[in-house]
Amino acid sequence: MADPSSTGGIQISEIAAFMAAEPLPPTSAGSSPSTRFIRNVAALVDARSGVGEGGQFSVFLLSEALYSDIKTTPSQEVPLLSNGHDEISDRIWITTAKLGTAYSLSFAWSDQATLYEAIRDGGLGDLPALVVDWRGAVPVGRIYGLGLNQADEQEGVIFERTPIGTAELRAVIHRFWEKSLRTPGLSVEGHAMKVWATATKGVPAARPEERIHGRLLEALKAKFARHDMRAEPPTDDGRIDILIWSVTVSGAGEPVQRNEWVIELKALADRTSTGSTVAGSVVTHALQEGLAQAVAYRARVNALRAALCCFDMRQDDLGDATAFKPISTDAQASKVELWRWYLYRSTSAARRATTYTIPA
Amino acid sequence: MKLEVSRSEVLTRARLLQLMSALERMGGTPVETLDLHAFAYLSNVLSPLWELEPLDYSVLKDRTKTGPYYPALQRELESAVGQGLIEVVDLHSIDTPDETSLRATFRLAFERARPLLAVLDGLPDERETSAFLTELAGAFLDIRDDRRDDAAALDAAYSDPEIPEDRVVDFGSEVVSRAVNASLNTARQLQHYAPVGVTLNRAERLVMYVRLLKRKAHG
Repeated sequence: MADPSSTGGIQISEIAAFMAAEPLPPTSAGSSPSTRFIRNVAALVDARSGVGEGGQFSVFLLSEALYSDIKTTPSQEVPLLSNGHDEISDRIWITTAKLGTAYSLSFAWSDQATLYEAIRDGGLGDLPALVVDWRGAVPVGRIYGLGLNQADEQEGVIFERTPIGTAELRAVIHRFWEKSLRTPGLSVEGHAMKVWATATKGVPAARPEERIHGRLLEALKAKFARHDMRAEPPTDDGRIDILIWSVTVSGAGEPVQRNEWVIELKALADRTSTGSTVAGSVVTHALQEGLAQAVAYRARVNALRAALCCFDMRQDDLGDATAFKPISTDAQASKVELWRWYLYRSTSAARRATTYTIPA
Repeated sequence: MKLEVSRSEVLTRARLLQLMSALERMGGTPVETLDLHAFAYLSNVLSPLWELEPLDYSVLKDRTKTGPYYPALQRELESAVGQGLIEVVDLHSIDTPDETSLRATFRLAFERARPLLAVLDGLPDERETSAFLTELAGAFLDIRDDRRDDAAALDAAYSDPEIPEDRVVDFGSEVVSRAVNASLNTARQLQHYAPVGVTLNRAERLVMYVRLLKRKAHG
């Protein structure tokens, strides 16, 4: 009978040698094509910026059917674009998520307005577009996820490797909450995983932090396109929910990993996924545990900063001061950021909580 | 005239379109016939890593082929070309001292295939398949284009020395009881050699396994 643990034609020694040579998976593993596209373009922009390229704008259009999209559009193929040897500014590019091959589109434009107009008029306004603005000291990006035809749906993309600031990181997580978690309807949009089992009854889905993990990581990867990060699923030894790092150069000229942020996530719920009541002391314990983990992991990986992010799924929105009261003094002493976002159980509850000013 | 189409043919056709769509999305077309079969094979043998059902649980280790080859998939490919769902981009002959053979490259006829793909993507179980194939395509296309079929032939299950040529490589069908999936075992083994504190998720295991094949194929 065959050995049930057989590795067939691959020797264990080959596996060990491979893992010694390439121990870490690429950051792109598990990312959506859109996030891969952003990060690949960011790497290209970084490379071109490094050789002094400047100009006005570049637009990169993401195609899922490249040949179909360029069939009727005058263009020139640039198959080795990702190598970084071709000028990319002041051009409109259409390519795939891997940047395997690309076409430079022959559209006439002279400024921002005519640039966007040319793409829309060329019938490519529905393709996700990453616009690079080269006019400042450093290039900056803006991703239009639904294309230039829906220009309101846009996010900034950061091409720099400089350390991520506290306000900057908090703003990205806030935007993620606003777009993906604030109401139950948002959490199921776009084939996303549900964080609620029965929102109206306050019953969360099983392991909501893990569900939030992957999606938040995707948002962070797309925003901080030159930083690396990974989320760890639980192990017996504990876990860093999300670790963000950048690769920089040491004084001796060697590349070094600079661990910037340890992020711990906690979903605060007053029900279990089976509907049982959760005591307040359990929530307090979860907060204390989250803070202790953030402090310990920051020390373990020698990270610059740490944050405890709480996604509050409880019946009442108690406000930050009350919700964090059990740990706020300790968090301040240990310099861990405490951030909280409230997950409404219905759209109407979210609406009621929002203060609208009716113009006179 | 009424054409009888079996369930198996429908499933194979659907998977063929999904395979082509994933390759197209990641910039992997036009694709050569044998590379498409190699990609199809890896999608089958690695499906359990994502808890997905493979389309085929076995493949004949055909001594006349350089790597995995599915006659049923080939029939559906030719049929899909006839129906305009897939386009032939290039057709050329390869002369060797022993024989002359025809080689073709293909790409998805996106406008015609789009409605079918939209239906497939709308099926709850197929969303996961689409994500899996996209991830696999991304890793597969990192292998040099002249080594992709070699990489599949070097896969743990396909290259198992216990399975001689012209025998079936079985990685989970009910025909062979207690069939072993050596590729899955190898992908799982990667975790044992990962750095302390790093737990590989399913996407990472998939990508790392294909990278291992790439390393072997590139030599």
